[in-house]
Amino acid sequence: MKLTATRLLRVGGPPLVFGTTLLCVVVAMALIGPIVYPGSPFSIVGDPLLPPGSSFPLGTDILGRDIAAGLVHGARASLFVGVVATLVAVIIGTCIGAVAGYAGGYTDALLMRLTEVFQTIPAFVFAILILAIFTPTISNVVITIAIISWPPVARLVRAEFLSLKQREFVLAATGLGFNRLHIIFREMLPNCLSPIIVMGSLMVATAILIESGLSFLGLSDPNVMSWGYMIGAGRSVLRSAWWVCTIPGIAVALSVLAINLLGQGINDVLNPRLRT
Amino acid sequence: MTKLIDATCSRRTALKLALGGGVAFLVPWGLTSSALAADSPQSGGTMIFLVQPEPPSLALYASSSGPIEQIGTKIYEGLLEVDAKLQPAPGLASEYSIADDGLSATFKLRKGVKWHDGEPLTSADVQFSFMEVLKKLHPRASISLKNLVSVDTPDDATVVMKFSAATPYLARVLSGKDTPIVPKHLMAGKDLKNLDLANRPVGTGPYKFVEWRRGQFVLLEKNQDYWREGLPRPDRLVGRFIADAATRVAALENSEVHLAALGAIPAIEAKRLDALPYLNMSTEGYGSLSSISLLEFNTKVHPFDKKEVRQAVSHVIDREYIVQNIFQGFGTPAKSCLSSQFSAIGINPGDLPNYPRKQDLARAAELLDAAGLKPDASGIRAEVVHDIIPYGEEWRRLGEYIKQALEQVGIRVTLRYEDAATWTRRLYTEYDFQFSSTYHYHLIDPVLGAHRFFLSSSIKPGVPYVNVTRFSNEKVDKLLEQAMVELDREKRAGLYHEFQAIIADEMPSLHIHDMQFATVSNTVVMEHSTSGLGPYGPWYDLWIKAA
Repeated sequence: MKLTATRLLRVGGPPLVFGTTLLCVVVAMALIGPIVYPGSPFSIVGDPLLPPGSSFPLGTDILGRDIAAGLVHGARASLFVGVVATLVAVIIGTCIGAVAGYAGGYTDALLMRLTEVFQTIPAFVFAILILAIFTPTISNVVITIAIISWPPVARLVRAEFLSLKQREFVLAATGLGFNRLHIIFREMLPNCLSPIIVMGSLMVATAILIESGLSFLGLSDPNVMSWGYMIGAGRSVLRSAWWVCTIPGIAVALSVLAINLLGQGINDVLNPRLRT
Repeated sequence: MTKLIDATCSRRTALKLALGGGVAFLVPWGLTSSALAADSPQSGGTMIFLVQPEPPSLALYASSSGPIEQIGTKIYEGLLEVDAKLQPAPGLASEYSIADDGLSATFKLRKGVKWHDGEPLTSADVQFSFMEVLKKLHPRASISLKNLVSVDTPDDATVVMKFSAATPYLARVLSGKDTPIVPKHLMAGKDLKNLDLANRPVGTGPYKFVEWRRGQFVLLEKNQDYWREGLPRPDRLVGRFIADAATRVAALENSEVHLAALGAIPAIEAKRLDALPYLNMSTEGYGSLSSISLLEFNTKVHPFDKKEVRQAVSHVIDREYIVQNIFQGFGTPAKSCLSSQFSAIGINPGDLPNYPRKQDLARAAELLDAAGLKPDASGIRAEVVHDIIPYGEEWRRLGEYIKQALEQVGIRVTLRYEDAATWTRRLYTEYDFQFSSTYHYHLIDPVLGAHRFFLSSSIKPGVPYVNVTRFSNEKVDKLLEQAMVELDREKRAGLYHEFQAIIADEMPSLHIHDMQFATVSNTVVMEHSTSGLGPYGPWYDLWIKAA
């Protein structure tokens, strides 16, 4: 079975194509943006609250900062936080889940109770708490989102490992005398990568949303322009200058939609039940 | 819920009545209202105002919290009142005199004043209020009346206060807001911190307490036996609590409430509401707060240990821009380190150096050069961290503006935004900061609100809102100590002029703007800010105009 373009289109359908295209636009924005808008997105470049279409295509915000510049710089911050936080969460979750699933017994019980402790705390409230204790900087935001996001990954990987453990190839590898690390990382993990990838791609969207939510509440790095920050800073003028928070709001919505569609599409493609 | 809204004042209720009671009801209502619509004060009606947030108690005698003051000042009264020009006026005391040496003051109580439960007010109540309650429980009065040693009561209607040192601002801290007179017969011999009276206040004021429904409203009704004949005018006052800001705005827009004061309506919404034909905005009545925004420098660490650097910052920031764009036009650029509200006591100086009207980057560069901060190859003179006071969005915008502004002269700024507890500890306990934004309440006299930020004796590690810049100047200490007891208005003004000139030069803190707050009210509410206390005034002359 090969992942040809036609197959992708047939299995993933228009949503996958749409999601991918949209995400490419966002990534392109993040990459090209700083070339089009060099300098700080915080620079005050014009009169405050100019509507879109004037000398600034997307208007200016409450301090006269270019919203288009904020949007492209914000794309970088949002994608960076989304991707890095997810990577960290996936790595933590995979390690804990793999060890728990493979080892079983007390180790499993201990690690799963630990996971449950994290799962029982409402994620967003927990994030607010962590950031309120530590200074909100971009690295702390990434760490916080990773801390609240890893438990589902751990549970998923553990479940996969529990079922893989009994399979012949794993028993064979054990019988051949491979050490445990080899069995976990070289034999078992590659066989449960597809669900992890699907979950991870959806988690990027969640991470972007959480970052936006935290920025909206003022818990973001004040030196970094992000979409959530723009929405939060603009909400006080929502009724007199709609564009200040509407434009970054649309950007968040579209990016999250794109990533969700992409994740759904990847799921469809990788799901063995849909394979033909 | 009880129907609290007067039919004449709410379009919504009027509509409901029209729908429910038939159109016939609406016709006479329309006629009567047009017949009554005159500009002479009218009695009757219910006045509904927003109080935000809901207060924890109504113990005005033990708290200086804004919501408690908004409600409590209608129930309790002081010996004196504060007029529109922030000058003392007669209250429960019909006349008073202060001795030339400032060590004693005599007050004649008004005759026939009764508590809401019918007991007469006597000088014993006044004595008890000051000596047993206010000096011990009230956070501001315990400071402003520090020098009060005794209150004598030669007869039922005479009160004589004795002081250990002169108190130049005495007559201005005796209003119901600052020092309410409380009923001795309901408090004496009881645990003052745990009284039923705290939640069911009994005063002498124009309105009586009726009911407090938690989470919803406090209901007050007209005091029929009020000592001012024919006053107050409204039949009822209702203080409503609405937790959500957007709902509060909508309540004003729908005329469900008549008035919203400090904190209830976001500044930018106040401007928008002001544009509606049936709503008015006023910034009067907050003079006794004397709120001023500023940057505080750590004068012990690089680079703000040099006064030239601090002065340079003052030339870089555009105060007018800050007022207009960050604080939505609420306020005026600061011209000295003391609130402009102190013009009421004549201590505002003329133009001082280092408070430029406009940004002056050339002068700032000169000052930085003089301080030895030369630009390096990439044009950077210094790198600093700016702490943002964690009390709302405006301060974040201010931080972002300061970052942009200082980068124009080669000072690279990193912003730091922490939660209130961390910020307080960083500044006031650890002094681990370079400069931070903040705002101070200078209150009704510099002694009460401003001295503590400049005196060497106020450098107290671990105590919040004192001298955090650790600026220490013998001359300043001496001037402020003299001003504390100087009774002569002219001499006192001279002392403060000299003090402000020293601070303008040394600039341990850089004052940005005199803050203003908004009261938004329906056009049917008349005379709500006739006293200098505005929403914190007694509101006996307020009236509701029939629609």
